Amino acid sequence: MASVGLFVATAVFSYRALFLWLTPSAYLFSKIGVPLLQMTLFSLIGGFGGAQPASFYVLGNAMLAGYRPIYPVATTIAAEGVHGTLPYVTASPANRAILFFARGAIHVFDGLQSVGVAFLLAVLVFQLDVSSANWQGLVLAMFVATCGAGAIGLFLGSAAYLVLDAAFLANNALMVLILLTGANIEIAELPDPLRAMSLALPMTRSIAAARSLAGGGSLEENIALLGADLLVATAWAIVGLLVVSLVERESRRRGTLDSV
Amino acid sequence: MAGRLLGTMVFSLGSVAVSYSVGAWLFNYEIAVEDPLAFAVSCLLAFVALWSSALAMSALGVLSRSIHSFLNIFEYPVYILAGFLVPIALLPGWTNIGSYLLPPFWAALALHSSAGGHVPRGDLLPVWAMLILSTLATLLIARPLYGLVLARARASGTLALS
Repeated sequence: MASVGLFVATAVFSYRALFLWLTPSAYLFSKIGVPLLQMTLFSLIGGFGGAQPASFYVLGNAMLAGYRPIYPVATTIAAEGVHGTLPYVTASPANRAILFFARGAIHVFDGLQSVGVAFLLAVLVFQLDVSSANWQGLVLAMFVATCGAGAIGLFLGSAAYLVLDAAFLANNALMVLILLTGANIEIAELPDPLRAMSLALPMTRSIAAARSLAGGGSLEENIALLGADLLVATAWAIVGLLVVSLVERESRRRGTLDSV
Repeated sequence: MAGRLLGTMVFSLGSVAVSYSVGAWLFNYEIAVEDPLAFAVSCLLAFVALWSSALAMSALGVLSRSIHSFLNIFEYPVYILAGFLVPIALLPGWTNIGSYLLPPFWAALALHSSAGGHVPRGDLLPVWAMLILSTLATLLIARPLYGLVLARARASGTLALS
């Protein structure tokens, strides 16, 4: 029970911390303006130079709106070092895995809302046809995609203790997701090394599943894709936890408590 | 601020060179400049135009604490309206007014035209003139914004400018 309480409290405080650097108006802009701009840009580029119909780019970028958890999750974790709260975490007897995974919990649902808004805009502004969509499966695909984004956020926030900073890493991660998850370029069209990278990313399979489900595909046909995407996301998050553990062990060994 | 932005832009010219080189190598694309002199003039004017745009944006960044989080997203409408990636002919007609007001639109037009060599220099003159005019207009917009930044810093008695 205490673990559940710790998880919930950490999740709530991590989410509220988002508004330390994000004003409510900017938050709303990020919910509506960002997916709209992103869908517009890539639909135009795709329509001008791509080989797919406009709906391919609109749907891909609506799913990519689920990237949102990457920034707040990565920033929240990395900011422990900047704001001087890392020594308290290091000294705390609390379970590290609970503290770590709770950082992303509410952000994942926040990201799910963003994908929902993006789909609404896709239908209203870009006339995306979802008349035959399997909504149950599509919502599951959206959820798995945002879990993947949260996992990348957890990993990048941890990596930011060792290299560069969270915002820079998150910006680059977003570009990689835009290019390699199949949202804007067919995976089959990527060169072999990039295709391998694509398969190692979360969101790749949930975007593929979303394409099928939006066209009326069954959940049974796509459940393996979604399961695999969830596994990849879990692997990224676990690597992030291992990095944090490494940082913590090193900082204890050196007696610094807040850095390696 | 103007000097700092200038320094940052000079530094980022290296990134431009690397991006073009890597892009040409990766996609087996030949970079050809048909009218080097006109292209050099266009580059210089484009550099100043982008500097003026950055000056206006940075004042907004100081005035709003969260705007810096979205600066990479603000690039999207500029990419769309300036015609860097797709011709503005693909956009609805009413958006063209926004394009014409943006210095980067004239910068992209000047760079594309002079690099392609399909536009005679005489026809480039109106494009350069619009590029200079829109740059000056942007600087005129940036000036009161910085006045606002300083007034707010004086009123709140802080040197943090935010």
